[in-house]
Amino acid sequence: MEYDFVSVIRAINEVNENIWLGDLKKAVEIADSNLKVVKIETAEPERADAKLSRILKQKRKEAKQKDVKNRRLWVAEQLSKTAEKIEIDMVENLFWVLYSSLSDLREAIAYLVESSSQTTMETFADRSAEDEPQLQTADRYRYIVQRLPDRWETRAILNDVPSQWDVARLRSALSDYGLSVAEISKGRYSKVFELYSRDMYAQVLSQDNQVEILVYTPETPDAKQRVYKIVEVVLRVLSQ
Amino acid sequence: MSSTVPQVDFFVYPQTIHVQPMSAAQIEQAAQVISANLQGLSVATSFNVNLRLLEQYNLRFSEKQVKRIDENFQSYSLGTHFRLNVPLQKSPRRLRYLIRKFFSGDVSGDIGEALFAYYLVDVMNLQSSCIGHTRPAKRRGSLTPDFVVWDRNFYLASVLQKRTYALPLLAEVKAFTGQIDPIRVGHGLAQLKMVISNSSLIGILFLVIRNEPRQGYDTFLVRVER
Repeated sequence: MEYDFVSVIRAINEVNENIWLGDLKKAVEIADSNLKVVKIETAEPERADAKLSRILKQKRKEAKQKDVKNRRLWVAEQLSKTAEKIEIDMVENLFWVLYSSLSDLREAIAYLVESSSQTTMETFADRSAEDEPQLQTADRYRYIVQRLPDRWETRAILNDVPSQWDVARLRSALSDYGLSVAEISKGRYSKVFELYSRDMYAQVLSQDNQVEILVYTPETPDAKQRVYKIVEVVLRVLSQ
Repeated sequence: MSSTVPQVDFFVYPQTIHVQPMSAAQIEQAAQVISANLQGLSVATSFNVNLRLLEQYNLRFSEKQVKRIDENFQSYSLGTHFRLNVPLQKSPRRLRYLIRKFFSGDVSGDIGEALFAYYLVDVMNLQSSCIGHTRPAKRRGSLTPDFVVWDRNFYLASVLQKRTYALPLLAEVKAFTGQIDPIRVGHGLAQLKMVISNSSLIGILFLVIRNEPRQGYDTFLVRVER
């Protein structure tokens, strides 16, 4: 069997990213579609990961009973000998470890979805609907803005990893709002920059297709609108 | 707000460690030799760490629940001990905390794992979506390294001194705040011995040591094969 490692690794990372964003629906979709693909292809009596985990447990127990000096090293020596003897496929083992992690994540999201569907009126008694962060969806990105005591925190996922980074375009787009841009760090997949104006300071971090924007601005009646405006401009430029 | 930018010096251990024929005693000895020889190596590369990015990798690729390394880095470097902020209540019946991380004060361990991801993505140009963090699976008794890395473009070829290699790469990360502890280096080698036995996979032992005078970090890569 060919183990599609990279798909499972990507799926786990994508599920985690969507949990970070709060888009549980999308996280479930990604987990399900990847778990389904693998399930169809396999029907093993005892998977390599279960077999190895059983042997590991047994060797640890033996080490304890024999009271060996450096248990971990002794266990490693014994386990390697056994694995070689019974010809366990380590690649297969690792694949199933990753698969189980994805499956566990799926289960954790299910618990959360279930619990949120069971919330009662009392749960919401002291929360106003306005305080609840709502997931916003645009053509090229999804994002959520949360009001924290000292800042506005935005988490976003772009549909694609930005291929080109044009700081000049961002400078021009933000100059209309009186914001200057300072590039702090730039890598192939990561960018960090800061935005300044007389009454606003923001840190923007973009890593692969994940973006985090922290905005610090005084409490004014139009603060929320201004924050959303700036967030939209930054995300639009990053996603181009 | 971005605070200090710690510098990281990266070293490559010149010898490849072949673990398969080694007994427990030989692994112990190899760990002592590695630990003793790290100080004499010359720097392969240096890079500055952006703390905001480090925090991002910490959230994504660290096992323990330690947050806002970026905001607290300076205090941490100066030796401040923070109170451990664990949830006051157990999670409700049948429910679990969504975050699958342990609440722990193991800050150095988190920085070690986050720095490894930082090195792969921001120094070696790997895509973060190809990094699998398997450390948490150890807690449920699985035999796994801390990370599996799908380096399909062989970006690590120069440090691994091979043009191509079997995938995935398997990595163990060990972080130290004071002196290097040869016992823990041995544990890293032992773990890699188990996960690469009976295969042609390559192991990476990534050691992270806080450089106190510089408030930075020294990182060492040790190549491990059967």
